[in-house]
Amino acid sequence: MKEIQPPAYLTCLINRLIAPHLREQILGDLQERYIRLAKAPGAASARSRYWLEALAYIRPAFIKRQKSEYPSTARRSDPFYNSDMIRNYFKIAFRSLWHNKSMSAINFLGLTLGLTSSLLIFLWISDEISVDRYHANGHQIYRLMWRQISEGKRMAMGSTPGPTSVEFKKKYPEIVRASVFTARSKAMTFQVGDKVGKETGDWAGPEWFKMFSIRLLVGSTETALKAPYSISISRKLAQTYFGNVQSAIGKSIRIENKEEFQVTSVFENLPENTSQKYDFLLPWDDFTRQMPWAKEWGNPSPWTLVQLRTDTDITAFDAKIKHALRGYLGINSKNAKQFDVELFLQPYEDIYLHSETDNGEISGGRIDYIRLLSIVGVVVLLIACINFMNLSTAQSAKRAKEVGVRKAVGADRWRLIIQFIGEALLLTLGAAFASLGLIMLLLPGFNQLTGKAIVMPFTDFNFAMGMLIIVAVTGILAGSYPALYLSSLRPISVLKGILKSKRSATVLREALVVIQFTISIALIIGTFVVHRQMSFINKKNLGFDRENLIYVPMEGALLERYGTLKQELQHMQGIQGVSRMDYQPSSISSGTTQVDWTGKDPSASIEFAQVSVGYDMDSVLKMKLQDGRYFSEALASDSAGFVINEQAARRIGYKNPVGQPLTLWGKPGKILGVMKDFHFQSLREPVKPLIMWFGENNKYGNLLVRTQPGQTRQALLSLEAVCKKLNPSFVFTYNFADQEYEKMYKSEQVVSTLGNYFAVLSIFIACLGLFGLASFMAQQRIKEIGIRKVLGATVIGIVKLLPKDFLRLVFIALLIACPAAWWAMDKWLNGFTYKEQLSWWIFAVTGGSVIAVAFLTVSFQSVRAALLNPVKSLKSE
Amino acid sequence: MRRSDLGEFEEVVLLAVAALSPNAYTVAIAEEIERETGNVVTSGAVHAAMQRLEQKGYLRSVWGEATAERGGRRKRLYTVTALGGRILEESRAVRNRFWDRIMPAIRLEWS
Repeated sequence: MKEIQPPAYLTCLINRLIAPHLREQILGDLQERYIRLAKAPGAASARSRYWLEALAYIRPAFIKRQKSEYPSTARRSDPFYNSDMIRNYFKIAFRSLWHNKSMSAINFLGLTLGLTSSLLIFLWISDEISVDRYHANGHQIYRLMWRQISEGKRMAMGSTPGPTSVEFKKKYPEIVRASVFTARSKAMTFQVGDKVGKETGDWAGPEWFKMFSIRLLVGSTETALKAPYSISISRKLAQTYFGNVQSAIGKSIRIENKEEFQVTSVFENLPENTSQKYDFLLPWDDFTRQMPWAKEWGNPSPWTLVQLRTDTDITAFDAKIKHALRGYLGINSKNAKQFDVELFLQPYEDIYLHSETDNGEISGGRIDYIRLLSIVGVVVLLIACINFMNLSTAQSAKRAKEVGVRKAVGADRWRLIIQFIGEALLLTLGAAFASLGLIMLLLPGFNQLTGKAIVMPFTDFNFAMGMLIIVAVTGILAGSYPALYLSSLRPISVLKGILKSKRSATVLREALVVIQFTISIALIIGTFVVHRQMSFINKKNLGFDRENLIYVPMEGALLERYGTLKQELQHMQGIQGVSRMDYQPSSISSGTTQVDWTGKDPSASIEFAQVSVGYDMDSVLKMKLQDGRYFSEALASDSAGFVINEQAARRIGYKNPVGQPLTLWGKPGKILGVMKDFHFQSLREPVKPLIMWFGENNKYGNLLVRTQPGQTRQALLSLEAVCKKLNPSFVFTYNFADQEYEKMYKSEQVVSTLGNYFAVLSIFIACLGLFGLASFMAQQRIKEIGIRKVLGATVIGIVKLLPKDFLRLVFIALLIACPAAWWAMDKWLNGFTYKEQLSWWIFAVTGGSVIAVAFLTVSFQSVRAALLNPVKSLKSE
Repeated sequence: MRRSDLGEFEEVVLLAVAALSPNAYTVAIAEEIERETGNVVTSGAVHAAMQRLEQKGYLRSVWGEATAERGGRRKRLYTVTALGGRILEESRAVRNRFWDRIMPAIRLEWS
């Protein structure tokens, strides 16, 4: 007869679930029940009935285990993961940490510092990449980029002609919304009643608030920025000028003491992570009313932002608009060879990080620093991990017996690996908590350094995940090699007491030390070079004197009565000279190709920088003339003349440029003089040809004030008094020329400072590891040193014994790091046209100091070992 | 009498154990109750009830013999303790007293 058996899997499940002391009875009952059921009404229904029977046993009363009077370590099928063993793992972990206090401290300190720096970098990076990413439509918004190709030269920029947004929205169904944006962050004087202040803002198209997720507190997205003379202000401005948001609506603000604007909407203050910050927005029509040239197609100036339909094929649309501007600019297939304009799209969310262009393509920007710093963060953490690896494997002798015993009683390799990785994770977790505390302390300083407002995002899911991942990766990385190494020990030999450190283990340890030092040396050389370039930039003679120079942006009555202003100022205390210029002399960004001269190649299109200047600019800025003269008040005809720089003279190609004709924007004039080249743009760029034209009576511009050395305060007081007298509503603002100049290199400066800290940190952590290794080596050779001393070795002789091995490693690291650092820094420096050369002594100084530090670290241990009384080290055994 | 100590199902099980003694064990009781009541009764439910009754001191159990039907496993035989017996008696007395007080006329109406 065929044996009738209940379904095996159910039996098996029940067997596992229910408490052991009930098993016999319950399984017996179940089987008997099944067989009897099977005999009676038929097996088919027995089977489903059996299910019911079996499930009836799944209840707490049967699952709950009986408490044994005699707890046994072998109760569970797995004796290595029950609570006693886990408790034992923890106990051993804490004991061994406690036992080797100095090593544990070194590891802990190294990991804490490494984690702190990488977490800080993580915070910085996540803040950087969050910029501008909070708009609901952000993914669909693009900026139209202008790429001009003239004489084979390609140049790209974010400025497009003012009418583009309106025109393109009509023309292309893919564009849902479009808006211009001036991106100028222009400071303007606001006046409400007797409250006066300087505020920064921009001009934008009427669809602005529909495109971007900026909440309107009052007013509607339909009407905001539409009506002429309307203004949209931030909550902050509403509160400053009107007390609260509600009462701001419908009120008027006098701007630049010229025109009244009515508040039609108030928007929520822009979040911290916004790249283009503005406290108010004015309608674009207001901009074109003031600057009619912005209506023309030939004057690219504002950004054009478009929101595309979600189903748009971006590449196809990109191709579609490539030549879209040709028709408006009068470019046809014939003249396109000389001057052509293409359009392409840049995702709005990328603008902040990818702001730089090179040869007509988007080339990078802040993203480069993000990449650089993330490498640094990983590298510093890696150095700390290597410390852990080296110190744990070096000390393997101490744990070897434990491994032997564990293996002898049945632990397999995996369990040991997990045990040791677990220990590393434990230490890392501790270090993580310490570093969180450290970050809390450092964050204010870090924010000041980077100009950010990062807060600890404890409750943020991403931060928690990031933290968890960093801790897990660090712990596993640090623990993996020691775990693999220790778990590979053979119980027979370690229990016998034979523990020969394998050659391969030593080689690996040395290789790891070399890696640590290579990285540290490369980092130090890198920051050294960046630092030198920065101080080169700071000290560079720009061709004009930026010390004791103040810029004051002029407006309203100051411009109208410039002559009086200049007259009065010149007699005030502390002021040496006064002139004007429509840009700041270190950032003249406006260019033109509409320059003509006799003998110009008619097909050539050369871009000249242009700036308007007032009388005495050369003496106020302390510039030098190469040839001819500067604009002179004595000769009225000078106002139609031009002063050019050497570069311009070269490009124009006159033999004796002074007195020769030159036409700018169709206005003919004569070249009065040639100014020596000065740096009016970033040092990354070569000096471009520049034309200075006479603009004593222009309607915009900066006042340039040369102060007496050491009398800046007095000069500022005089300046403010005179400005207030001429224009009572004027909000006095000023900039120091040297500070403005340094601002241009802000991100380099920040990275250079951060780099300094991290480089010092990395070498410190690396030396910590070296210190630990040296102390371990000294301890290992303590008997040898004792015997040597007994036999008459001198202290010096013994001190020399230890460092040799380590210094060899540092030398190898130096040999690897120098060429690598040279290559990388050469590439970086090539970004600057004006730069400090890489010279050999940078490498020599870095190498020398690293070797010295390493030598001191190791010698400390060897001196200690050498001074030890041999009686002490030899008395036992 | 603490009536809350004895649930309805428990009482039935206790009665069944008394009726089947000395051969009362889980499967037999489950089958017996099933036959008497016509409801589906799992041995698990019976077992659980008997476990509770044993804890309360109304039942006592010993290992019985093993059978081939059970795959060579022993069964556990249950007997009612003196306390259990008294509880059963009490509950029966309460019921009887009430039964006795029901007027015959009313019982006629039910049938």
